[in-house]
Amino acid sequence: MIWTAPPDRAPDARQPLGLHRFTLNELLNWILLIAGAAYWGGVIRTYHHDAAIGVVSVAQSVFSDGAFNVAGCGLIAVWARRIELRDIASRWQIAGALAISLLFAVPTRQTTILGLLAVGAVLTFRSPIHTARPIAALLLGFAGEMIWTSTYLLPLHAATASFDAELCSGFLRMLGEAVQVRANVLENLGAGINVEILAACASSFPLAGVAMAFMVVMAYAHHVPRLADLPWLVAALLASVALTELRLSLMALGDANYLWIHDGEGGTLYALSATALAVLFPVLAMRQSGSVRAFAA
Amino acid sequence: MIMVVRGLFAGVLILGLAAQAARTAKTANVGATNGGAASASTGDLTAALRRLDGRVVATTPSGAVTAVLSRCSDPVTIAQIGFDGSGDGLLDRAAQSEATQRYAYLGFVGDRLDVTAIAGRWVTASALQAIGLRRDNTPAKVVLVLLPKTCPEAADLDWSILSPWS
Repeated sequence: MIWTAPPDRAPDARQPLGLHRFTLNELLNWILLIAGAAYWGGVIRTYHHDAAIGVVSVAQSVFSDGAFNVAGCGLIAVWARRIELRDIASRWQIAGALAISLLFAVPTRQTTILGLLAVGAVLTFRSPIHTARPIAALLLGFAGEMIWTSTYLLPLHAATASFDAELCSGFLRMLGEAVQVRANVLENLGAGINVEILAACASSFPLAGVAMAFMVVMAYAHHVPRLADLPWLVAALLASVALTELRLSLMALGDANYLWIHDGEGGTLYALSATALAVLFPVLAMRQSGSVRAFAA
Repeated sequence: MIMVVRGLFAGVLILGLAAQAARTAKTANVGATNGGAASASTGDLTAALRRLDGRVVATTPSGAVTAVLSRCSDPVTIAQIGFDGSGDGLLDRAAQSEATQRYAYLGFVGDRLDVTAIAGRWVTASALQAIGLRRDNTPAKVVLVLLPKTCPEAADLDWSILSPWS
């Protein structure tokens, strides 16, 4: 018998069968590499490629996932190199990591979510790996964003879309427009345009992305999120909702407006405004708590 | 031994990448063969209606279909209500109209939007598809049929044909 007790209580178990050079660092790097391959593989797979998949369309699919997600992955890669976990990985830790890796090998959104949650939970709670908690926070953020934008929650966003339609109709009535709402369809009777607000256009849909951006900006500045940052996060979410309502209301003003915002330069302006807001609020939060110096440094 | 463990991790990494590539290629092939999900769906609907002795006479800009049945002089309206809220406006209109409603989803047929039954079928079909026991893509749309009150016998037709299990 080699060992029977859990690794934390059995130092001898940490060097089984010539594995004395297999450190927790290497284990972490393997699992992050496999998780990254699964996550970005899924992003590329589910992206709507217009033609055969090539370098350009792969790059487009990666950036379509959001600049903050790309930045988040970059941060994880940098931190994984800096973290020093020189303890030897036990047989149990290797087996557990392999089991989670097998989850990532299944090319479905659900298994990737489960894998990210599992790695995030292990890095958060298991000693001594918990020194990698900032990585865990981002991995859990990725999982949360995947869940929030998944098919499971589409009905929730569709319900929010009806609420958005009501809100926009109130705004448009204040501008003197003759509008009526039918479920998630905003009908501008004067302009003769009906805008159907689908789940992906609802104000609730980008909120997970906004929260992720908040986390990534703070992580970049080496700021540990605290309770005092919560009002700023709420403000960021509300600003995102307001921006979406403004976008939807402008769309319902007429065909030209719709095309400009949905398919033209207005869309770029909206994306830039959303990005600016996503950066603004975490910076304000850090400024209030005094850690913006680290950001500047 | 350390090389074996490294080999195992590298193997899992390669396996994952290969599985992603295979699934990506499969998705691209399905798209190329069907010419897009929307047209395939309309084609399926037309074929299914033929089995009910009906035919499509018009399609509205919103995607709803007006059809006539051999046993009914008044037209029926068929629309697809998406999980993403597409067609919700029509659902709202249907609730206010006097038309008889039928909801079809993966073999289920009901006279109201039974969320539990639909969610159950969606979960089952998605799970079977994920483990490779189901080839067809799980639809994210429920078929809504609005039948005129003048043709009560049309309500007894097997509307599950419009969204069969397989």
